[in-house]
Amino acid sequence: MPLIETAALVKEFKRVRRKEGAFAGVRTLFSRDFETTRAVDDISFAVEPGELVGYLGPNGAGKSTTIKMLTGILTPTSGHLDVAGVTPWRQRERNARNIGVVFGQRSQLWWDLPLIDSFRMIGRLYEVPKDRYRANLDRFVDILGMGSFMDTPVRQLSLGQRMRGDLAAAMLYEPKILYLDEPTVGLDVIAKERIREFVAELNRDTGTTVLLTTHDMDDVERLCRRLILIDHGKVLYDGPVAPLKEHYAPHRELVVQLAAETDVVDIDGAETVKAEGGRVWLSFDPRETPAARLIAAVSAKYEITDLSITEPDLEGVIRRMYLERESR
Amino acid sequence: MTVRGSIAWQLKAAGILFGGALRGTAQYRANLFLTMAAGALFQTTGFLALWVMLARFGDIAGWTITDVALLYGIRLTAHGVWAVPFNQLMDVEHFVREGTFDRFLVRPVNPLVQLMTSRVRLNTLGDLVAGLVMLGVAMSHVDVDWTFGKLAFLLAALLGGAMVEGGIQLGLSAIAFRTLGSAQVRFTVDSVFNLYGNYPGSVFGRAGQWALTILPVAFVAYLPTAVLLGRTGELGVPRILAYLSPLVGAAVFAIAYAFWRRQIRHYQGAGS
Amino acid sequence: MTLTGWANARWAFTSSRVRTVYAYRTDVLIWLFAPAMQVVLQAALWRAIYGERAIVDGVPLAMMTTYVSLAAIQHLIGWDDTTDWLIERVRDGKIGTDMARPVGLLSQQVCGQVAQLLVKAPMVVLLLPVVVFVSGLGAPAPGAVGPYVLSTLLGWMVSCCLTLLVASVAFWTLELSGMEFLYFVLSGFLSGTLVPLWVMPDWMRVILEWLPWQSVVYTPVAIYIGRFEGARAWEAIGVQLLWLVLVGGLVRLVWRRAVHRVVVQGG
Repeated sequence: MPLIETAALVKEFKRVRRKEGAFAGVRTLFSRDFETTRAVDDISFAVEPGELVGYLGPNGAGKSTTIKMLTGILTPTSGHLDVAGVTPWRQRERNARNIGVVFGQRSQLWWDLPLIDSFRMIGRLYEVPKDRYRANLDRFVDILGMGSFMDTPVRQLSLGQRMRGDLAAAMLYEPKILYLDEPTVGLDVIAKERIREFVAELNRDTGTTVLLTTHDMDDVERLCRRLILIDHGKVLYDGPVAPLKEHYAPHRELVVQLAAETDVVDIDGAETVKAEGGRVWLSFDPRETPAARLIAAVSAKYEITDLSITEPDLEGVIRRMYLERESR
Repeated sequence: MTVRGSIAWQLKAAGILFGGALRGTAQYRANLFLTMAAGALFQTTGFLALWVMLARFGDIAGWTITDVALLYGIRLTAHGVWAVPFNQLMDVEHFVREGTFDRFLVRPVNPLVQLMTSRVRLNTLGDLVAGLVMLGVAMSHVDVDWTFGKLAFLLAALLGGAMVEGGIQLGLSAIAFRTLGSAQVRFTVDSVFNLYGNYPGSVFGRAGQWALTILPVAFVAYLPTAVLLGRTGELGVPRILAYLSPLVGAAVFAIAYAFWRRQIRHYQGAGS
Repeated sequence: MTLTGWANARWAFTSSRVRTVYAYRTDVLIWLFAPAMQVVLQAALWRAIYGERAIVDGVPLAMMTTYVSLAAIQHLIGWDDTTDWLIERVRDGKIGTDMARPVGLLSQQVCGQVAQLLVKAPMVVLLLPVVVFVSGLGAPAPGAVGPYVLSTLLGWMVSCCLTLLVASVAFWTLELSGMEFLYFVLSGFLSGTLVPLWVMPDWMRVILEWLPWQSVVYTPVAIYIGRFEGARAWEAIGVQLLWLVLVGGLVRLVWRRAVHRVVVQGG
């Protein structure tokens, strides 16, 4: 049975059109003139327990709106929503105990209190048994490297420290599901890596189901086996990462460094993309020309001093996919 | 472990959250006395004026200074009873506009309880203390035989009055979820309660009394005080309403709370 | 600096503050609702308290309702947001920028007060139907108009000085938010807006007569209704002048020390 299930989910935002001119404020107050925008438009998907799903899309695609509906912050305009047997917006408090939430932009911690106090309050609010609390906290402090700033007020923490704190706070009470909304935005490489490590380990060891939105494709490549791509509030793709790459970027590139300078490398099943100073970029489709056969063919004809094969990166794949959609 | 979602749990959670807010507030002790005194002064200036007037004129619409003091004391105490815990309602626009209301919706505690305990702001404690003092002094001077029944009615009336005022303010605060500003409206309504709640309704004639009963300012203090003083004969509205005033508070608050819960559904968060 | 230069710089400040205040005109309009309710309440209270009596202390009911209606308006005109504005500037540290301007900090505040008067006085006129038809504002006493206008102007100036004095507390402590409103309510009593001085018991009247606030509201309104007539009116205006000099001097003294404090300790 799926842990998260949405069917034909829709969220419309109504905004009062602001009046201009004299007494604009008063007239806006009594205005019935609304602008309606559909942020989420008929989205259906299901997530099984233990999955780690990347929920991606360009700005304004409806990612955050979906997550906010799943967490119970927003009430859907229409459609079906079920998270661990609970309708989030109707049973918020029950839903809250099942989920952990980390919003990259906004901390859930107590701004004026030392980090450790936020953890203590979370422990009490979620009624975590003392021994579980101790064990979880020790483990998180260790993995996330938080030992040095546990007594620092949250407002004085760096962004990376604060994010780690937020992540630990969201997992202290062992929720079934973890929602991560842009968890690595604005962080340095080391902090990013720590957070990815933590999420991967949680998913692997405790089977926590994770739904992640991010702009950082490294997050996705490191963590996600499944992707849901959305745009303009609709699902574009839902499935594993590999077929997506194959469909939108079937070609690999073989980069060879040759002993002699050559303009064109003439090999069946490969095309020279670029050549400069003995370095040649060859594009090939591995379904037709396996890489080993290509390398063998090249080395039969030329003297190779170095070589590498580049995978298409996800970012390029997704960019291509959106471009293709726009032009259609 | 407490039953989840129960009132006992909400109270326990309120304790945890308020403890956190208390630890996060610096300097609150130094200012507490000052802000309390300011609140009390603010609330009692109107009474001071009335006291001066009655010292010269003897009575207003047949009410002596002790009668009016009882009414004023009941109004102010009822106001304090709702304003001390619900003071944070004034921040609701801020939380909605900044999108920080989000966090109240993803924790296993009633969002209203979280809003109420989000910050320590005890300036309304002065209102409550001033109300209690005035009520105590008035009770010992007024010509009423304080039987058990009357004391019970007084207690019910204080809670009812608190719920009338609190209910109206809660209901108005809920407008904020529709992304409309409610602060001005709340301030205006609050000043109507502050101004017109403190005097015998008979001052304003029959039409005025009906207006204040419908608003429903009169239920906070005038109608219950009339019952305690045995003055229900002078009312311009049916006597039964005066006896029912504690229940009116419960009804107003229940409706307001249901409205608040419905309006939360219109919360849009910040951005998209 | 030439006189025109001096005036131009000040006018620039005033007009920019006028625009700021005007931007919040809707708020000001909604905010007028509470004083309107207050006037109606005061009049109703006095009608009830007079009851069957026609004249008390030589004051008929119509004169009393005229007094409370006009007093409420006079008091309202003296309301300004200098205190909250100053608290905000000091808290944000923007006071340093303000002090770097070519016009002195105190002069800037005065310009702000003039700006508020320019915006709010026409708006207060919107209350006129309420005070004339509901609460019962009557015509001025014969020959009172001239002294009344002069006295109102002086009263407003004393009020501005008192506000500046209260606001200067912001330089020493910022923990007084909401004090502006408290001061407004308190000054309502001290200035005789809620209860005219002649109704008060002697001890209280004597105290208030020796305080500056009676100059703000009580004096002009008493002249309007004819309670202060002829020589008595001019005598009261003289007292207002005296208070203006006294409180004005105190404001200069306190602000000089306050500015010195900011310069020494940083904004």
